[in-house]
Amino acid sequence: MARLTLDSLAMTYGHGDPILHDLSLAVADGQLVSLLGPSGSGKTTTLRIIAGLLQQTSGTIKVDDEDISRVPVYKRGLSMVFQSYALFPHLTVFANVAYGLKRQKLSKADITAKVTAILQTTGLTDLAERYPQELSGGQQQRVALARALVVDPRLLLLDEPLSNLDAKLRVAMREEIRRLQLQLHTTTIFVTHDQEECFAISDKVAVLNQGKIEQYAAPEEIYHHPQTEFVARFIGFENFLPVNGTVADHAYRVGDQTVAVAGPTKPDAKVLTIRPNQIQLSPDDQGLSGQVTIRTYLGSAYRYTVDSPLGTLQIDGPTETPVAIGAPLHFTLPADQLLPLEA
Amino acid sequence: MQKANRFLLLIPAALGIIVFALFPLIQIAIPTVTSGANPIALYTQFLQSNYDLQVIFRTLTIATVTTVITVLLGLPTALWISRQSVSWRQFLSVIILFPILTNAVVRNFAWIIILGKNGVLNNMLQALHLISAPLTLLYTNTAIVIGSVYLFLPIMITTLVDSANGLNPEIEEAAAVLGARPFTILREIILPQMAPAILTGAILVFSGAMTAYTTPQLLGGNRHLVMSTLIYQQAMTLGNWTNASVVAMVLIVLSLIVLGLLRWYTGRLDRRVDHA
Ligand SMILES: Nc1ncnc2c1ncn2[C@@H]1O[C@H](COP(=O)(O)OP(=O)(O)OP(=O)(O)O)[C@@H](O)[C@H]1O
Ligand SMILES: [Mg+2]
Repeated sequence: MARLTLDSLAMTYGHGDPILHDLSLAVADGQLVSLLGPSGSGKTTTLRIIAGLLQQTSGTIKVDDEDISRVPVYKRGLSMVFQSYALFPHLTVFANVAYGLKRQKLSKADITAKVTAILQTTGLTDLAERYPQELSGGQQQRVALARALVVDPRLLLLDEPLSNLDAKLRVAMREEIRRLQLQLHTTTIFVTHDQEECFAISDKVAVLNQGKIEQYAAPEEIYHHPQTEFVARFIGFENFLPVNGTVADHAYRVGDQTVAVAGPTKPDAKVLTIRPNQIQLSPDDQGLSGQVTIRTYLGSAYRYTVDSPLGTLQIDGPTETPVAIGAPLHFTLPADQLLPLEA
Repeated sequence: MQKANRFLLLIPAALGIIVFALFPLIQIAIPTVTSGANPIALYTQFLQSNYDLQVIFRTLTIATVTTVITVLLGLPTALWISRQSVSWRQFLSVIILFPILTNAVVRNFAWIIILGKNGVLNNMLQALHLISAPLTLLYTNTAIVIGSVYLFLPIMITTLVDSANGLNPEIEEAAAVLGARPFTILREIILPQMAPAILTGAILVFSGAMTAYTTPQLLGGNRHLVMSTLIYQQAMTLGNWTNASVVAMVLIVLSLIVLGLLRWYTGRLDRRVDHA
């Protein structure tokens, strides 16, 4: 239950290239913030620096107003759930969960009471005497979570805690995590590379690209208004039309075509972007025309790869009226859905 | 496949075990029964002789001390090796095996040269003025322990490195985040996970040190007999095969008791860790 402030964190492993550059982030008390980014973007590195398992090259970490940048890991009073869960294999579920309390030198009665309560909350009561090897992946995940939460940490750090679970369990567990986090009001950093997962449970999302935060905003804001091409690509925009100028204040020039947009044009715009399902199919001889080169069945729609005067586009169309490969496809770009990006 | 057939297939292996393992064992026991003397009397006589009890006690002590020292030296070494880069780790694993790869006689003569009255060690200590007269190191129990530790440490280290390599570093980090300092992590997280391997190593070293012959023979001399050298003396020097057999049987039984205890304890730990 605390605020977290990262200020200008930088990290370089050994003599290699810098992994984090000037990373700053403010997390409000009781919020769940996700670090979203592709593999190798520095999510784990950031989390390990916050935990104190790695020493940053420069920059500061504050919890509330306390600077913990140089505090050793065992004194930071945080909790972390690892991707491998990292349960103690030689201890029972009960002893695993009790470990942090034991280190805090709580009395035996207090430990028993707290552990019993959290096992209840996480639905592990019946498994208390089992060893980690005797649990399913989902159960191990719960134990890791219970072990992290029982110490009432100032900050809960989760490193892709759901990536070892099957799709169904993943959805159930992420809701469980969110429920516990809200109930206990624990400030939480959640690392993931799954955008759906992080949109579902986060108060705010920080999109990480090569050790830099590209955008930090609420999930809805990121979904509808990505600020950079990288963020847009990461969350499902597939079409990027290079802009080479504006036409008055209502349209952009793309190749030799003119594309109208709603609202005033931005002189600095570099690309126009739109999701495949936002492009509208139109009746023959209306709108633009292109030729289908690839058709992919997505279940709810067909996705067409279309050669058009605007370049190659990804367009979704209804499953009731499939368009054959090689056939022409007519479409329009809704002016109010096109998003100009400056970077 | 039919049950009877399966038993038929087991016969060659069973014969092998009987011929190569049980038969020599029976051979050892036979002289103690066929010598004409009452076999029980032979054993009680042996176990009542002060001299023989001393040998038994020395054997057990040397094996125990050797085992404890190899654990104490082997653990930090193994943990250190397992935390090196992969290529460096492989190099070290080979280097470690060196003592086992040298010939037993050559290896022990090296120790004679080092530990002798005018040996390397005494000369060095005297040159440094740490001692005024040479120490008696050779032909002592200490010399046997030193030689045995040197011989068996590689086995202990190899066993422990295997186990230490399998430790998940995130488990130690999880403990650190929950407030455990490095020494606490060693005691509460690393050692318990390595306990089965420590016991396996102890079983290997203890049984090796109990039965080793060359090392106590060359480094212990005639006044520090252990059971294996006593057997040799009885059989080859005194020609008393009955007594040699009695000592051999006692050695086997003692080893089995200690190993049985260690195995039993390992089993309890294994139950804890590998249910899966
Ligand atoms: N111990 C290390 N030594 C050197 N480089 C490292 C080390 N650990 C990570 N890196 C590098 O740092 C970069 C970021 O790694 P990090 O583990 O933080 O990525 P991540 O965002 O968590 O990726 P993933 O989604 O795959 O877990 C990568 O390029 C990686 O190769
Ligand atoms: Mg990672």
